[in-house]
Amino acid sequence: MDQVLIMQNIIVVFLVFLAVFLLIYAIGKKPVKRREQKIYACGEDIPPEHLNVPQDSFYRVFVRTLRIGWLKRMHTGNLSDYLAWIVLGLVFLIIILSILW
Amino acid sequence: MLYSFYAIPLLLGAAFIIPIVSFKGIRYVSWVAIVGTFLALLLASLTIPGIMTDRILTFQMEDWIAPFGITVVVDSLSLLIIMIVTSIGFLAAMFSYRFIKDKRTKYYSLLCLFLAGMLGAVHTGDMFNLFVFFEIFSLSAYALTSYYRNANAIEGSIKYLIQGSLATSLILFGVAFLYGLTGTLNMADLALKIPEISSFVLPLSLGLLLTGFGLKVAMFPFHAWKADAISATPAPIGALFATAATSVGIYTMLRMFLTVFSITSVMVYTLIALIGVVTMIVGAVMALQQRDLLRLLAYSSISQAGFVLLAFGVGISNSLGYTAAVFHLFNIVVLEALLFFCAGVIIHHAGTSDMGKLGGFARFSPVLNYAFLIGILANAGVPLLNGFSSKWLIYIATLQTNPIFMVLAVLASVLALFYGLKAYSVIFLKNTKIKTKGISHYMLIPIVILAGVCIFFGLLPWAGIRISNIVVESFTNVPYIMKVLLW
Repeated sequence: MDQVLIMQNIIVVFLVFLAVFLLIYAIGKKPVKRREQKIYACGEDIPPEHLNVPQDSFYRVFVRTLRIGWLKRMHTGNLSDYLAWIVLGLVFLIIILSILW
Repeated sequence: MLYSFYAIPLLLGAAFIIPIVSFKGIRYVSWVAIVGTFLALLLASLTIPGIMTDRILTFQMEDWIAPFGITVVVDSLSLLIIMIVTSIGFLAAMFSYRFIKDKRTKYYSLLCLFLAGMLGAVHTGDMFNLFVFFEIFSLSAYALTSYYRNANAIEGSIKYLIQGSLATSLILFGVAFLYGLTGTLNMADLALKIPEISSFVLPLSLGLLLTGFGLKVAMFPFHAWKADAISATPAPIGALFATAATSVGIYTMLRMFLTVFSITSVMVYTLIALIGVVTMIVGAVMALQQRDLLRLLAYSSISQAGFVLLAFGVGISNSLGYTAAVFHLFNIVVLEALLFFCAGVIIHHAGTSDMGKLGGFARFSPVLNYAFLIGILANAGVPLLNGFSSKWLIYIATLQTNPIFMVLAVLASVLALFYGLKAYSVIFLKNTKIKTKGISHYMLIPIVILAGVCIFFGLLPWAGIRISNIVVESFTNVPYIMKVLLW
């Protein structure tokens, strides 16, 4: 029964996304009127190449926000640190499993 | 009949024949590996009808009676992993035909040994043989990591060697404790004897085994080797590390939990789910911060393995979790292999995996462009692709058992979309000219096949769910014990 419900949900989501896709596609197919103008800002004409922003800069804010200090410090690249993690992980697992057994 | 078992001697034979064949001509070496891996896939496929009718196939080496002698057992779970190992192995061998230019003899010989070791670990019904086969495939993996012989490769290989050796030592200790406690190494016999024993050595042994196999899966906090090793290896081997080797690690963990120890404690499974959640978040956050494509994909594979552990952990309370775990394991194998093969093509043509230096691949090859896009969207769980089907099941299973885990799973998927699109926009949309020629068919065929599978199981998820349900039937250990010990 659960599986039938899941399948129905999946099909509904597929159909919704298909409808959204077709809608966006149909809108995108309409011809757009274009006109070219010089880029003007702060009293100056700016050449287009000066306004080129690297694609990955879009994600930079997100990456900086998620740069969790301790996580970064954990990945030192030092083998001794990684071996220490393994040993600490092993001790943690044995203690927890002994308590839960 | 257990045809898939013959894939082990076949690949071992191929590993030893390749150096001899290399005297005849270096181009024959590749073909021995490609034909060998294809025959292994064929033998694995021939086992499917037997599993569909009998569910479990077994035989004893040299006619010893179990629990004595070496037992070979294949059930639906083992067969799924065997199919994964042989199919990705075949595609990797085919992809390597144009990708690998130097030291082909060593490369293909080690590749066959690596695959044979993994197949052996999945076929065996004996703890000590499991350890031996783990050593075989691990040693081949260490050597393959150092294939390029540059500073990165040597560093990655030594790090992997030392951490991997520690893991296999822990597995050996775990096996020794079990043997000391029960006097047997046969998994079915262990499953029969362990419930009768009450000793502090059992959690100790399970902890040692879990750490050892956890390192192969690269679950947190044993994941550190993976990014270093994968970023140093050739891309087809990276694909095998991220897919086949991870699957074998997950398989052994499932075998320990469900068959040997037959754990029913909800708390222990919750611990696994918690480790899965931490693994998927840490993997995704670390992937987001990478500038090297192979390191990004390595962390991505760590994150996706966390999803499988989460689904498996909630499976004890909600059986849908088990179905989701199996289906997602299959899906991540397909999509991670696709991404690694695409990365292989990119590295082959650009000569670097540094995303800061890459760009312009959308114009270079539209097929590669769409295949990579399919891979990253499937990885993030976008609808109409296979990653969505299994992640949807994981969300439902976790929502019914632990909604916080579900929220974190969705967050990890959002992060996957971010790092995937970041890689895609930098590598494909940036306006850079590529001066090399078109992509070889040997590289393109595996990519197209895997992209097709991503779409197929995205559009027809019921097929994957049905296969997963058949695999989940093997999660109870009573038929396994009866088949092995009572014939």
